[in-house]
Amino acid sequence: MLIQIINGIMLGSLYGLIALGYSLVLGILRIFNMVHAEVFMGGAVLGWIVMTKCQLPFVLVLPVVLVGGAILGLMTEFFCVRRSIAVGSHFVPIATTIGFGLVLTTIVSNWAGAHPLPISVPFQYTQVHFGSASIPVTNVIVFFTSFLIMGILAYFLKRTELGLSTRAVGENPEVSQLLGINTTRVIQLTFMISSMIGTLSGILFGLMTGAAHPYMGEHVALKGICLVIIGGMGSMPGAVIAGILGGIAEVLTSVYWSVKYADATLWLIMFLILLFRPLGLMGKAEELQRLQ
Amino acid sequence: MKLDWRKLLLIAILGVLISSMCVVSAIAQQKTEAVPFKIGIVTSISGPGYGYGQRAVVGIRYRIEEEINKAGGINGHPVQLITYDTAMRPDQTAMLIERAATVDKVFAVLGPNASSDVAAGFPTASRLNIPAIALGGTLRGICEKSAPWCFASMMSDDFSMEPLALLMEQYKTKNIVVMTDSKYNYAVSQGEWGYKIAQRRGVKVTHDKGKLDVETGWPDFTPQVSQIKAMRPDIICAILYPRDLALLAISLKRGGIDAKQVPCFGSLMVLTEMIVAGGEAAEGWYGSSDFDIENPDPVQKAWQKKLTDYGKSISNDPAIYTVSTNTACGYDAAAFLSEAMRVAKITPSTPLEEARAKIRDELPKIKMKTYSSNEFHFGVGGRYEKNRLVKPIYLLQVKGGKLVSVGQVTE
Amino acid sequence: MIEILTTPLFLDLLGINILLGVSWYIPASCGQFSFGHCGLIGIAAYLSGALTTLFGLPFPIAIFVGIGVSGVTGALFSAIGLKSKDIYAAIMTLALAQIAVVAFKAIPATGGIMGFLVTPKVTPSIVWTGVALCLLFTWRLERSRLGRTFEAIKTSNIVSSTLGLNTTYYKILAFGIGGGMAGLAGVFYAHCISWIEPQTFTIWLTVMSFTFALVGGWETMWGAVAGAMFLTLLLEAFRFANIWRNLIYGLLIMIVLGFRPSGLITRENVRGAGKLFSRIMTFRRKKSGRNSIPTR
Repeated sequence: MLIQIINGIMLGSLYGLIALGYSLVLGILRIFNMVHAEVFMGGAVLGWIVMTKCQLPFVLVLPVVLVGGAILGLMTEFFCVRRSIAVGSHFVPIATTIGFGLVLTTIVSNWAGAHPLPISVPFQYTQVHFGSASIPVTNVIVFFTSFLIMGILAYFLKRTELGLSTRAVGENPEVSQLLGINTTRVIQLTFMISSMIGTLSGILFGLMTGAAHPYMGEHVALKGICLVIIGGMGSMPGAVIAGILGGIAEVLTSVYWSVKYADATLWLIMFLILLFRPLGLMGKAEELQRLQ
Repeated sequence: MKLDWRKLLLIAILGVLISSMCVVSAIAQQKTEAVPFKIGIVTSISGPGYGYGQRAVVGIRYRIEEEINKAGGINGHPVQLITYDTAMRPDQTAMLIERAATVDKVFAVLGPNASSDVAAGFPTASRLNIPAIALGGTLRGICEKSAPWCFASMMSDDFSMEPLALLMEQYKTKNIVVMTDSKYNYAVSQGEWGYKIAQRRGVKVTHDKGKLDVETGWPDFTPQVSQIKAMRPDIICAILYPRDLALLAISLKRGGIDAKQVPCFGSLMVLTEMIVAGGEAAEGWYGSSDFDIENPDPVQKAWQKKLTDYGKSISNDPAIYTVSTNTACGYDAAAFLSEAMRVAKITPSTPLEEARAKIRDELPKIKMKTYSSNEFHFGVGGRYEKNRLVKPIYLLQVKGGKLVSVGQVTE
Repeated sequence: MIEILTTPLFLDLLGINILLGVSWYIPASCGQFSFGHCGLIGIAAYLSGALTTLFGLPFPIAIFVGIGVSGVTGALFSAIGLKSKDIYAAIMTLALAQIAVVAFKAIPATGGIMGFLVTPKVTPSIVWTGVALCLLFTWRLERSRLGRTFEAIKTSNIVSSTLGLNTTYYKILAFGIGGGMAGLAGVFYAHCISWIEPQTFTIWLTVMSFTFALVGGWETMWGAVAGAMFLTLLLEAFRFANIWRNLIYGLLIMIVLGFRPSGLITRENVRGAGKLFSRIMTFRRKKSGRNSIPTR
């Protein structure tokens, strides 16, 4: 039982990271960024390209993945979201980002094949032992890296000037503009950071499971939104906590009941939360007002 | 209405798109009208099962284009293949078969291949009175239900699981875990047969039925691997799509279970896609096939080599050009179909209903040596399902990154 | 290409797609984004399929049950969500869609994962009669007081509630009507494609519905119709490029909506077309009128 909870926490840390990516765009721009799942896949595929296809050393993965994420974020902002924000529509970006996601999936699956693309690291078969049970070392690395990334993001948003500008634009775009903040740039930055988190979580996932494939985004796409709602829209610590709890819930359901219902459990939890505490675990009332 | 450049550009793009649609489909139509015999291939060219479909197409195309068309065609007329992509969606399959039969007016349909597609496609083929030879469709009893119009060139689920009994015998196993993919019926069905075989041989299943089942696309197998480790089985049986199987294999190895020590059986799903994706972790996995890769017969070896080269000329994806059971099934289906058409003396000018009825009647009567020293024929009931090709079953193992044949189920 | 267009199967599909687009458009005309259409379609498909195939009930009963249950379910789920905020209604419908699929898989009577065959077959004439009735209904709805109320709520929720409109009631009504129409689409789907299984009713079906409506133009009903026809024809025409079809579909959505968020057909276009039409009509009448005015 303990080992399964630990498995759940490891998976949950990754889910938390993904939910964070969604939460960033949702909180600042009130947009559901449905391409995040494909960006996630893109990160893993970039990792495959660097490590398996080009046989480059492992350390090169980080810059490639970050740059890839930034580029994808900028593309999303330009092609999918710019005009819709100008017009003020919150529906349309859902469709355009889904379209972009389709484009990315098709390109990857036609170019690399629809089968898993292996990502192997030299240390992948070593294990970390907890008494009688053991966990693959990759999972442990993923866990710590996720928290590192979350910490960096938190620092960025709370302490740096750019981070504060981002939060300001999220609260009130018009007033921020009056105060001299370049809202266009900030929006671009938000998408860039969200996509970078997406690609990073993708490569971490690829490390954890050992392969990337073009349809891996489908599994996490809607789950991410579900977790954001559970955590509370607009609250980033909430997204992280919801992610971890979601991971534990999913693993425990799959082990003690059946995998068929693991996904449905999360949706049921979300359903109950919407019934009894629509704000979510850590949502704030002002956030909700702003969503109107 | 002021027309600014943006609106103009949008209208221009749309106009180009619409006119290109019309032009292209007109050209495509002209092409189909020029050539005589039309046979439809309905398989999954894209989607998760793209490997199965594409390999079968390689087999079909080799038989039709290299061997038949180059020798003058059937009864003097060449054969034209029209391919339809189901993308592993049963509703698409039903639509495409209807389209092949009514719009393109093909003489017969080769396909579908995925079991769920077959479950949707066979009733459609029966309804439209067009013969269909499935390139997969492993659910037991599906051909009998859709007789007389529907046939299959691949063995059924129960036969594909039989090599598991061989493994149980070889390793003297006492307990087993069975994991299936609860999203697709081929996996559930094969899992059922796995439980039956375990019962037959007195091997204990260490968990409640269905406890370990996953769904396609389940990302992280670590919890399941922890469960399996706690159960300490002698054999692991997993029926998942090759891509999920590869992920499971990697997860098992990372969890400390080496397939070279604990036998892992993946039935029909242990294929090149799984080996490429699984890498080291796929070593030692067992699979089953109705095609003998290691056949020492020189004629057979030469045939395999030619088929591999032909596959390489079509695609450089090893999952597509490696000869496997799907390639063989495609080849057999095409071979039997063309033989039936030859024997029934069908020409492109034969009326469609008459031609299709004749194919339906001739197919069950054919006994043919296609690529192996065995002679194949369609079963007529009993242990061998009616309208399904009767073939031997082989046990395969992954050794050195390739599948090799290590045993055969005899009866 | 013309041959394909006249296949009964394609005509059925086109009709169903138009219904999907219009059924999504109705909650959208009230400002609500429905994620759960696939679930509503699936419920109606399974229910009507079970009624006609397993219980042997006549087709019209199945239609009414399908419409009714889907409408009520849509209204119910959105009502639960609307207790708090608009956006939660949308998320609630998403939950509905996911839970519905799990439910379909769990019912053994309708084949569980394997799906089942629905025996009665519906002809294109029935489908298109249904489509025509729905279009007529929506057209009347748009022009009626209810339609104007929906539009008011879409334009500004806050102002509408300040003006005394019970916005929650109207939103639930919009979901109900849209759900009912989706139910009709589901009934037709089950009886045209004849094979239904849980995998068909995934979120992709909802994506198709709202791409039809959004790309076509979500300000008027004609937008949904045009979008459905355009995208269905596009998917058919590009069948030869089968592995790249999804790419073209995605690119089209990105280009059209990315640069023209209101979709292809906007209200001005419809008004403009209407004006043009009436101008043509009055032009002829004027001409004949001049000749027939008795000179006295």
